[in-house]
Amino acid sequence: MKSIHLFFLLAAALFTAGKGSAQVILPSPLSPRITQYQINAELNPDKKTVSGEMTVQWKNPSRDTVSELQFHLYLNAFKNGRSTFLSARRSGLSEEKDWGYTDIISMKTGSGELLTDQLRFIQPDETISPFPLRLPEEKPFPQELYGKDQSVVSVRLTNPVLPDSTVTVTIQFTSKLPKITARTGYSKDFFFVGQWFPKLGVYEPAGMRYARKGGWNTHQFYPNAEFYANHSLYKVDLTVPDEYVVGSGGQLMKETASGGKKTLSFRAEDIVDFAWTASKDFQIAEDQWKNVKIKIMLQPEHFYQAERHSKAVKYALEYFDAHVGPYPWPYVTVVDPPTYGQGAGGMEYTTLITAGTFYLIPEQIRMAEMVTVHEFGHAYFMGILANNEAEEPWLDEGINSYWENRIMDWAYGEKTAMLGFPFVHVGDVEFARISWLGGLTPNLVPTFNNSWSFPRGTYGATVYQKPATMLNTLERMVGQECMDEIFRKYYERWAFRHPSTKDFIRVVNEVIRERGDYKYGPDLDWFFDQFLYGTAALDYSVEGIRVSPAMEKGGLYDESSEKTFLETDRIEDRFRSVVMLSRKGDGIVPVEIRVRFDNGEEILENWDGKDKVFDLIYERKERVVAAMVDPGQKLLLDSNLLNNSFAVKPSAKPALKWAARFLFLVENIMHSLSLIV
Amino acid sequence: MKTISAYIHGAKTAWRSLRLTLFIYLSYLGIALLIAIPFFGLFRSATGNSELADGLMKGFDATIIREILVSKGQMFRVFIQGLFPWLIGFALLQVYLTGGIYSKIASPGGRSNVSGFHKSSIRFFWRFLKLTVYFLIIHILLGLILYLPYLIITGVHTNLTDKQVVVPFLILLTSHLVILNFIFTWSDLVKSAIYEQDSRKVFKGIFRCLKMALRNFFRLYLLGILLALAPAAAAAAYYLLRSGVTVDTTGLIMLFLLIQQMFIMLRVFFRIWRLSAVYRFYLSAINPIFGHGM
Ligand SMILES: [Zn+2]
Repeated sequence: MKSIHLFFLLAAALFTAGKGSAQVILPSPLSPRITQYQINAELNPDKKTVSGEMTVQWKNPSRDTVSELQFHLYLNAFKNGRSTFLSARRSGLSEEKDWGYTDIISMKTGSGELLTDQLRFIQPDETISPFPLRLPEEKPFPQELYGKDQSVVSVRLTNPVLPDSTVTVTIQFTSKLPKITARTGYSKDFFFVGQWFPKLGVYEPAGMRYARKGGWNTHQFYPNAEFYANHSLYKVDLTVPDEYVVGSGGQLMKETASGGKKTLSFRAEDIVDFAWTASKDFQIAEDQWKNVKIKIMLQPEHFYQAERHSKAVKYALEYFDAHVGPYPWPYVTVVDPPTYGQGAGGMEYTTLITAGTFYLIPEQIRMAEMVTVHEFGHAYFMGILANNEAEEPWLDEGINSYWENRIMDWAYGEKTAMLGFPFVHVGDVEFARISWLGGLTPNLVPTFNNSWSFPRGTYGATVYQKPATMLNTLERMVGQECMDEIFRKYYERWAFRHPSTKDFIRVVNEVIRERGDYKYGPDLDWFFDQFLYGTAALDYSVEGIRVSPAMEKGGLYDESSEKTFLETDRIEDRFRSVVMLSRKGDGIVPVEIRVRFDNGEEILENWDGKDKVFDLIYERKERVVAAMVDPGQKLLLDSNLLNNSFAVKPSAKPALKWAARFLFLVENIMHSLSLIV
Repeated sequence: MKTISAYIHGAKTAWRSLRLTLFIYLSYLGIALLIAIPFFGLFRSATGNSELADGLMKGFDATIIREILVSKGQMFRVFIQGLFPWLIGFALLQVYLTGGIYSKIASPGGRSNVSGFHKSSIRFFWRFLKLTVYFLIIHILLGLILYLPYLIITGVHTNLTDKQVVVPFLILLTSHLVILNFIFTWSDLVKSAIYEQDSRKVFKGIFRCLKMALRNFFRLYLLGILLALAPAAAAAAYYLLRSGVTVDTTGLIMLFLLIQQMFIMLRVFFRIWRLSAVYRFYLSAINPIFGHGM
């Protein structure tokens, strides 16, 4: 990092509005802005409600005539135990004030036609059984348990929306915030307000992603699931009591105050969701990277850690800019929730992210940095490249974890990024691999899966760390430059659109072909089929090395008209060495093998990795003394590295070193016991 | 004055007791080797013919350690579990050695034969063991008094900020250390009393010495701090040295083995210093003559 100009601004109240009367943020729209929201809402801190009116415009992006709109009312997941969300997961909600909901009080069209009577809750996934591995067989959604979900509402329009035309709907709503659950809600007087207004689903025209025919793509709110929405324009007026400090995913355009309250006018362009936060305690630090204003909203006791957060943001900005594509917005806000609001930590809303840190946490423990880099990365993978997080969670979480690994190791050291103490340390790439393999069943279900289809205990490792490790492996196979090219192309083609997994893989294969590097074949489908769509486990092993004297190939040989007998004698000064390799998993990847001879010579062999057992045989003056599969440690997906090498005479030095350490430890413990005598 | 002279006296006694230091150190080493040599074998068999562990020559490596533990963790687990009886053995050994140490420090210039050492060790073993148990109870009670209310309060109040949780903990931890310095010197005082008076009334000795410790509080407390300085400095020096060097050759492994063993010997030296200094302090407290000169 070169420019370290950090301007800390203690702000008891909000910033003053941005300079001048700029009405727009970006020079031109980056997305089609299919949805445009104008929201006017007020926070009632005592009742924990946000209520107001919103006007949403929706432009029909398809060739279809659409006679229905579908909205998400995500907070209804926390309305009662019969929601799809709470049927599947226990919550900490118990008292009456803990629960949350969104009530639509009225809805009418721009021309004044009342739609309130046309509203009905729907459960788009009625036929999908969540957590299929917990149920004995595919069953229809058990109505008595799951049929009461109210997180999706449909409204029938009397005047259908024709292709390319726009409908305007005005909604009066009240949202009661839950006690923080799934990263939204309140805790004491801290508010993190996400998923708080009726939010339109995505209408997918035929051919988009996996859609065979045009239709709304909405799902009930599931545990693990995140969101899916069009890039939108947001104009949001928020009224809060004077003493609250507010941050949001928008840019503050205007602020007015009257009667102990203030109204903040925010504008956000081309983001997929608008969230905000309010608390009396925030202290604000500001920093800048190129034209991007970085605002860190911290708890007073964490204010001294402002630089740790802003540095992490700047590392991420710089790295993404250099390796993927530009960050288009001129601002980003990082929110540090209080300890009692930790449930809101680690969440992403493109231009507004939440991190989380602890008082006095040593600089060597880089949780806050990791979370900041990770959540910032979602501005790309989910914000700009807006995949369907509910249906294909790996596409944002997995890919973003890969970039988090890269950035953390680059910024904070390959083996020290997560934990950087002199005698105990771990990097982010290796941490991802260890966490993935640390699960009891690292390959139980495919990574490519709907967020509601992961059996207990598999979601995190399968959606975050495994695909990150898969992409880290791919990077080591094809090279970092090639990876960058893939992601630059993915960005160029899909920025401000909605890519799917097959779109991503298509880009990968195109880049491989364009580069003409066919080391791993003309495409990488075989790779993704095994490790993304499949559950292949990778484990190559050197089983042993057998060395024996080389022997003449004896027997009877035809020589003119007679048969000559040749004895099977050993050949002077020649040895036959067999390196015995095996493939222990069902995963197959071409692999390199390094063979070392007793004269110190090393040779590199290639194996397509397909056979279950495979031998390398040498007959030469030198004996093989050691062999190692994957000597470059490219295949991070390999689940056992201990069996990757075999030495005929392994060195005793490591055992000696660690035994000496152990001896010292035992002696110290013995001596320390004298303290209690 | 009493403090300083006891401190210096302790150092001199320890210096005159180098043979004792060596003897105690060797007994540690012998027992530790009984554990470390099987560990060497265990490590070798766990890594087998793999070259992966070679990476550990550069120092700690989370990936390599993870791989070894995942494949062979059970072996290490069984080994570590087998060490718990040894811990109790170590503790008993410490109790045993203490009596012998007193026989030496009570007459630094005099007899220092092995049989005298063991005679004293055996003679005071049960008394010092009882004392250890009593002080263990005192430590547990102190822990409960210090931390139990804290745990209850922070457990009940979920609306606290992390600072409100961390700061009281740090205050408690510091207070604990401050109190520990007193308790350690107090318990050394009791041992001195038991030895000097050849008393069998351990429980009574604890109370008598508490009174004495409180009467001489500042002097004794200062002595405790002084006695903690040298070990702390040695530990810091070792840490600095250790973090500056990558031990990756056989020569360096051997050099560090030597340095580590010297460090252990130094710890034994400091312990004799400590016991002797407090013993001297005790004598000067019951008989003012010892307070002056050497
Ligand atoms: Zn994420």
